[in-house]
Amino acid sequence: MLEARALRKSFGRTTALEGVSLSIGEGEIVAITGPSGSGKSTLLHCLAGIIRPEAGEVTFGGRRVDSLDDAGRTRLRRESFGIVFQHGELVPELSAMENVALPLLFGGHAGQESLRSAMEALERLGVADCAERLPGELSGGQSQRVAVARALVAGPKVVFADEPTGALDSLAGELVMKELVRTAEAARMALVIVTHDNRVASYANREIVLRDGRVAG
Amino acid sequence: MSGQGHARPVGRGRLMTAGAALATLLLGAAVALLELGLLSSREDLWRTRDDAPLIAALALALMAVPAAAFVHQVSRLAQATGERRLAALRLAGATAGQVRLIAARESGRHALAGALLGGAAALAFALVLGVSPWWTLVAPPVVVLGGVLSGLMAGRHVIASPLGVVRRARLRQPRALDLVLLLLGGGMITAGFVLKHWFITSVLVGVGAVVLVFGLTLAATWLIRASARRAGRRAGTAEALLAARLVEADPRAWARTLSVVGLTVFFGAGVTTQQTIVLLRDVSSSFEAGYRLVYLALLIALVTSAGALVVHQAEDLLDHRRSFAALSAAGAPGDALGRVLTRQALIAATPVCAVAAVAGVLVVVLPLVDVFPWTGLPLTLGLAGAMAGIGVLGASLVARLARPILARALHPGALHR
Repeated sequence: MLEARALRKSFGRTTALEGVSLSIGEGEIVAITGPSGSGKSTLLHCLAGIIRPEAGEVTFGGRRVDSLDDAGRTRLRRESFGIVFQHGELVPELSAMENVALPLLFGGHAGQESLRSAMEALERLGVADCAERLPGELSGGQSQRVAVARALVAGPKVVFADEPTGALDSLAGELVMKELVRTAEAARMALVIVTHDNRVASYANREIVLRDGRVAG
Repeated sequence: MSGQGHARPVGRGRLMTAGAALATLLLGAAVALLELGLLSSREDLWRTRDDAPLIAALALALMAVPAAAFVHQVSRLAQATGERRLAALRLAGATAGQVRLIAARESGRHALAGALLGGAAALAFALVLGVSPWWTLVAPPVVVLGGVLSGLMAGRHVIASPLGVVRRARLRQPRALDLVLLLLGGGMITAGFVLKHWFITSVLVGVGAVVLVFGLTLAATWLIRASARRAGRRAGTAEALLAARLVEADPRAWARTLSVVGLTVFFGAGVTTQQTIVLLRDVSSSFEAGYRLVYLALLIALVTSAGALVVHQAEDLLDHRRSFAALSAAGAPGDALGRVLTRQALIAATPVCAVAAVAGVLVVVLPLVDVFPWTGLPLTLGLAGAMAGIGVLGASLVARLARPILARALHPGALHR
């Protein structure tokens, strides 16, 4: 479903990715691991169409992602991908429910319908009681589950998670991972997790190890 | 701004110097005109209506406020963007107080450079007018002191620790007390016009105008929050919701910046109303030169306010760069996020400009209610509406100008800072 072939990306004189190829199937859970600076986040950004590789290609459902223009990649991310960041990155001024509704609203859905879907997503993640609260009033674990709800609300085919438990204690991290994996499996979504935590990587069906921008295993 | 959305120190320094120079020139020119006005009118002020220099002096003095606000806004941005350097200073052993003093000294240095430039220009202006130039020398020290105080105040919003820098998140919400200054300032100006004694009127109008400026800032916080709440309740799109909530969360920041736009609209509406009355009543006067100076001052104020708004938008984006970058990465279109900036400006500017225009008309009409030519009311209201429209249009155009800053804030790299 999602495929990358011979990706290369550099920032100035630093080569972040060199000749990376991989393939991710429907409903598959893949962990991308490796030491700090190995190119994990850059690979995730290339796969999700956030940045373009200098060489190589990324295809999703047979369609080239890297050759799409900015508007095309933006639409693809909104309609087919969900993204979870290390620190959640919720908008602090919006309630949890409004944060979750944002991807639907940006997609042109009606306000009330979007808020209803957001509430259902929060219920699925077990944080419906936080719906009216601002991100600053939530614990780290609650905040990250709201971020997961936001990534899942539009029914994506692939969810990308960049160090999703990196800012959480082990108990909260475990809860978030269980919910993320359970929801992804139930909806047959592919899940791509970037992590340097072996416990998080153990949730994956397959592990891809990066070292110095190359696939090492 | 560099490629990563941070203002370059050299650019910030130049902006502060330019703002300080403008503030000094406006203040110095106001002092010179005041001197000219007092020399030429004195007891005849209300009898002969030869008060054009006084009107212009008041306008210029008030227009120094936008320039001062601009300097303060740049100072805030400078501290927010100098985060790493501040943290490095703390790591090197500087106390929090020492870091703030360093920032104050830097803004004071730029203010001094600007004050010298603006002071020289004001001195030349006084010589051209043929009045003693010595009083204009009051302006430079005032501006330098303002620059130092601004550096100290701006430092309150940035907490530098050896481990990094966080921006102070405490946001001030409106209080009932905020409305007192507005009423007091309006009352003093009205009383000044009613009393019609050259000294008492000068003092009441001058002090009242200053009180009104502060009152307008504080009252604008209320107006903007109410407008944002209303917009939030009616929001049907992502950009409308985001814009409303962002403004509602920090109405004070918008009020601080927009109060100078409001002041420009207030003064513009007042002056056009007075000019309409003079024209309709066919009163011969020497107001024309004063009006030209006032309109020039208003134009300068509007442009300076626009500069302060751009800097405010940059600071706002600096605060929200991670959230916006995350939304962009998650598929929010850049255009829609750009429209968030415009909507924010509209939500905040519309009520402030509308109230300022109405207040500007009332301040002139109320003391003259017995002689006001009521046939000219539609024209007066139309001109006031146009003034409000210019203010709102200016604010929304500035939001469009800030879009390149937004484009840089949306860079995925913002997620790793």
